[in-house]
Amino acid sequence: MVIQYKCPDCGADMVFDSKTARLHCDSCGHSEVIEDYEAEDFQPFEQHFHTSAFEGGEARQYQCNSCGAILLTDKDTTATTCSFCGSPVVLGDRLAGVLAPSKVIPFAISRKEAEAAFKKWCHHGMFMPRGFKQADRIKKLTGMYVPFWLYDVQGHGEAFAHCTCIHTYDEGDVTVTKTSHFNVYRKVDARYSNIPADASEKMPDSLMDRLEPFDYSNMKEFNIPYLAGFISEKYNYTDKEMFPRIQQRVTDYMKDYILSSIAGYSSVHILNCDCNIGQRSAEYVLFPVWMVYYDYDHSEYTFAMNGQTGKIAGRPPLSKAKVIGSAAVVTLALFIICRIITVLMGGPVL
Amino acid sequence: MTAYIKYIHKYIFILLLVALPCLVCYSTADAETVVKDDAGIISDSKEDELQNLCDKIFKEYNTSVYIWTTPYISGSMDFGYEMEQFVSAQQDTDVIILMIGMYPGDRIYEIQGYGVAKDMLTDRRCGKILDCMHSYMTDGQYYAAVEKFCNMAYTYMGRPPKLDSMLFSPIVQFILCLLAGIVSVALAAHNSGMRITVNSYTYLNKNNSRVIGRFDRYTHTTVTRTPKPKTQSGSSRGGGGGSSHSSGGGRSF
Repeated sequence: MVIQYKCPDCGADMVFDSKTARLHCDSCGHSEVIEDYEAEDFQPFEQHFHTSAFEGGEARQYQCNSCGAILLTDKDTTATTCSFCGSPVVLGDRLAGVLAPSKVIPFAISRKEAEAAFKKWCHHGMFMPRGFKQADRIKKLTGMYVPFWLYDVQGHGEAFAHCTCIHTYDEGDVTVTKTSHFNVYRKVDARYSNIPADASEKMPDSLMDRLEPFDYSNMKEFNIPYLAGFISEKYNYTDKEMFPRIQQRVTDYMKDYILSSIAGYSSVHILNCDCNIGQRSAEYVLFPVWMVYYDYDHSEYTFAMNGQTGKIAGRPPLSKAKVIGSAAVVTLALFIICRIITVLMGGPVL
Repeated sequence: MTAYIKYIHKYIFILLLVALPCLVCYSTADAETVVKDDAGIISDSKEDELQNLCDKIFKEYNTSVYIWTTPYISGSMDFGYEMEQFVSAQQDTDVIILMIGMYPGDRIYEIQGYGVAKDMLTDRRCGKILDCMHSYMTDGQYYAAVEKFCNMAYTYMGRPPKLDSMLFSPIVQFILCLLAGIVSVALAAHNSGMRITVNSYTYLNKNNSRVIGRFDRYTHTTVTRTPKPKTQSGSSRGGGGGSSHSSGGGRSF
């Protein structure tokens, strides 16, 4: 089922506009409020839909409503653009039933803003080579809704620790150190809400984790028009499959939480810590990500930008000269500061 | 008669004690320093050079330097007391004294600081200078030893004692800064574009999180007693803190 939103005024394709958070027609400027498109309201638009003709293997074929061309899509794709006419298409059958996201964070950063933000980021990159900093070799900039599981988890943890309080004082010609030893126990209940975990196998976890945090106050109930004009994929891993990753993450969080509850000691040595993490709920959501593909020095670099906050993640190339130069400058600056302090305390310049 | 001979060096010392202030008063008129080599262990030409070194300290830090070598002082005498008596006879309040006693079989050398010099040439610093002079003294290189004293005294007078820590050494500071520079830049380069901006508390639901069980049981206390580090060491004697002057404690050689 191919879904395309046509402008009621001029018939051109409408896309989601991050500025107004509405469906927008670039041809005539007409815009529509997305919240008006409730699930039952899709019916009037189905007159514009064409159902898929046939499918085979993992790839699946659809037909574009605008030009009639065959769309060959990846098995995970839920929204894309027609490679012939460029019309935005949403594959509705891949967003139904268990594949239907419950919520979505709409794009708040437009393509132009994303490009400008990336250029600015490159420009401010301290260790990037000069050629890379010009940011004039952006090969591709793709707006993607990436599938995430949003977990609500409950953790129970208990820990035993050996703690000490150290008190030092002078007694004549002797320095006395009194160390009081304590056996400490803590049992905690902790709830963690809305922990995201990227459920797409194509997206590197190392990049997606670094796009956090997302602002959940702008999270909306999922509605298909939000995907118009962007690429979207369905999840590859279920919430159960992704949960071990969340367990590991929350275990680390809980250790910090337990540790923060042990205060007032000179030293804390955790002897044993046991955490049980249980899943309360998991929501299937789509988060906005701009993927930037950049060519530099015969290599392709991939960056991800949070489509809501503009935070960029990715490993840029490093200029050895700049790294060494920066280390030298930091060393020199610190040395000068040290010598100034020394001189202020009455010491010699060198 | 035997007893008279036995204590003759003490009598001569007392005579010198009376005579030296006169000499000092005369000398302070132009240089505020005295190099008096009664033991004859430094050549005349070298004495002038030492005088110049002492003058340098006086001009820079307004502190007089007295260097006195004598064949009559031995370690068995109350060395510190004799020196204090000597200093109390001076008009100067800011004084550094190096006294070398060359009594056969009982040779000793000592440094004391008074006034400003007491603050700058602390017991520890005096001890350090004495230690540095020791090898020269035992080898009979007295001029080199006294020259070492002058140079170290000059350095110490221009640097507060709190800066004696290794952390204030330019070389140590540079090495630490270099390490800090390399580590900080390496970390910054490694985290470039890969910074994690969430922490353990970003997703914590504080309203539904709490400590539900706890105890803090005291088990026992251990006590360790560490002697405070002392400035004096080896064959030092006399001197000490809490007095009107600083002192290295004296050294035999």
